[in-house]
Amino acid sequence: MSRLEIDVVVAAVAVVASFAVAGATGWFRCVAEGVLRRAARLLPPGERERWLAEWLAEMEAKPGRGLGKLTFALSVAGGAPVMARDARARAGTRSRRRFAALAVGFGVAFVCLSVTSALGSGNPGPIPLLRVGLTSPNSTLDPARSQGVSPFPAFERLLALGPDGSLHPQLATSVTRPGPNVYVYHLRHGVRFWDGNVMTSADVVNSLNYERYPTSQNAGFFSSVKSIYASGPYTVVVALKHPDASWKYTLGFFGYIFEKRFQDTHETTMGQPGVLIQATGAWKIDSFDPTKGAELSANPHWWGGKVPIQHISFRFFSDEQSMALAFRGGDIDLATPGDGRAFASSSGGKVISAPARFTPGMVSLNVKQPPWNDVHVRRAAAYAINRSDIIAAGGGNGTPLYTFIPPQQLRAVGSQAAVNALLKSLPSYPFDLAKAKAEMAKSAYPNGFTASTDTTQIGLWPNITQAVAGDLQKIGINLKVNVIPLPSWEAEIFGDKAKLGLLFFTDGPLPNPDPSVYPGQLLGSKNVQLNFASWGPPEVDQLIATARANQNPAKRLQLYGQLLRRLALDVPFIPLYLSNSNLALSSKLSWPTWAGYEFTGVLPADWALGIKAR
Amino acid sequence: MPQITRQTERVLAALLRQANKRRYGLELSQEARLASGTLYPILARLEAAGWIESEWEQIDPSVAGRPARRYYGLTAEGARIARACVHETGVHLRGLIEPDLGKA
Repeated sequence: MSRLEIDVVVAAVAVVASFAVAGATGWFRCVAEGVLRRAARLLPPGERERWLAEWLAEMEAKPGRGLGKLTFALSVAGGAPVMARDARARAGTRSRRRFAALAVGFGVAFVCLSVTSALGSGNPGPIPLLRVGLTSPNSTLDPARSQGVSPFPAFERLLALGPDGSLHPQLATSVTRPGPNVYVYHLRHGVRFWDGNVMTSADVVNSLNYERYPTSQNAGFFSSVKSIYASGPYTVVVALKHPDASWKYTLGFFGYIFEKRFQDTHETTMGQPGVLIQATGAWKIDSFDPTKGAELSANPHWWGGKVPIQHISFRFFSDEQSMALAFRGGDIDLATPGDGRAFASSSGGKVISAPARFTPGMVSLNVKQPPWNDVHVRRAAAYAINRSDIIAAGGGNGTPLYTFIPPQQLRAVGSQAAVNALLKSLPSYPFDLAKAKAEMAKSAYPNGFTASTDTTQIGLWPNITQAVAGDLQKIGINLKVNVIPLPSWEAEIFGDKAKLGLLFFTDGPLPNPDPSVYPGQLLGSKNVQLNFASWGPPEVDQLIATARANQNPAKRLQLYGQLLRRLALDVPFIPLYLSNSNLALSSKLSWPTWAGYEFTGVLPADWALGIKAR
Repeated sequence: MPQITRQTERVLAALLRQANKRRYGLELSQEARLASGTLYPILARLEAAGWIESEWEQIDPSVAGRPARRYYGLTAEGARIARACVHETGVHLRGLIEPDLGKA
């Protein structure tokens, strides 16, 4: 006899017995209540009690002696799977198989008689502590001053971006667009900051304006914005200067919302250790030490309901080797290393990889700083760097990249054939030592020169920068690599760009499919924060603005083609590779929704909700 | 992002009638002529979107002889949208939502 057959027989016996004991009215009420209780169990934990109480009260209000109540309960149960799916979608988690199973009214009718063990909750147990390793510590929790805040599942934005570039509600529940240059964000009600204060449009307007100030490192993403203002307690209006095809994505990966009142009180110190910040995410930051790590705990006020992981402990490591040792020793549960090999030998965990996404590794060359202001030097460097060497130095996981805008993003505005044709028409710099030496011979430094570059312990950056130096050595460029602490490095790259020469960096893995992302972030005369190459000819400014404003995909592809051609001639940046993502995870845990961009990147705010106990 | 179906419009229309009067689920179910299994998912979506708000009835169940009910009403934003959807212009709400939000 199968499990289902046993259940049915047991249920039938229980039905007859309970009917005899309770009578018809009592029996209907009992069954109806059981159905409602079981239906409520489909919902996320944070919503169950509320809906169950509401349904039970409604059931009491339902006229009739018993059958009406059961009819009501069965109807509610029929809609509960949809509610569960919606709730989980809002919380960013996937629905479960049992949700579909319980949609079958037959099974529901037996719930209160305890015959549905086959449809058990299936909920993974809560995780008391998740220990996470990081090699890219940040010096502040101020979101306008450090992109290092993004690994913390503590900061939420108005929207969330899925791995496929799809947009989802987060602190905004809907967006209306009354005109081509106006976006109206309708805020979620009932959102509270960690200190219990309610989030309103005043907080959101302040946060967005703070992040778009010229001194913010993310200001380049807000360059199309004319003004941001509140039109009601839960409505925020963003007015653009001109149409911007990429804007709809921007608040899916920038625009961290924090409490205005807290900032007003800590105007110059917000984000610093001991001061911290007040945000809205599922986990609140309890302590932060730039040299050691951060401690997070479940936010009791989180709008998404009960948070399944009680504590998250972030531990900063000086390099990947020491982090690998900690993982193998069972001292951390999760890491996203650049090189997964050192982590793979652990018996208590495993390493999985995801394909390359938009995570470009690049070298910038300051066009205003000798000797890199010589275009022949820049072209020589571009020919001299062997991308195979670079990818190997980065752990062997990566795909060579030859264009500043990854081809995957160009596909957002053109067919594969159109993109291929464009790429084929562009000047390119594949590894070619003979051409590299020929370019050096044309430069003002035919006998080579000595220069230096600073890097820091983020992933395998020192290894990769050394590999760049090794390749340049072959054409007479003696590049001295200095590994300096992260705060010093950040001060250098965000400070006076005249002091920058050659710089290796990797940009964030942004699942934004629009090709305007990297030009908007790294190029242009108005981009004072991240234009490490100081490259911004007026016609390039114009191209960036026109391509972003144009609504015609074919025209946009043409404009980005012009930009790429200009980039290939001037070589302010040398694109090197798109890196794969690695996840090292304890065998006690699973992360079924991991798509390769979480955690190391800027998305999503609630990534840790996807982690389950085995 | 709420899907503005005909059923959702009926709920918004029901809430818009005597907009200052709050209603509990069974009343809304009757006014909108929707089954409970259809109504509650819509209420959950609208509340998550900030278009409606709800609160528990302030009664002592032991005195009233029944459990407290949860009452629903339109928010200011929800009323504005509902009016635009149902009454004023006849334009359905779905026309106001950016069509590609939620899709790449």
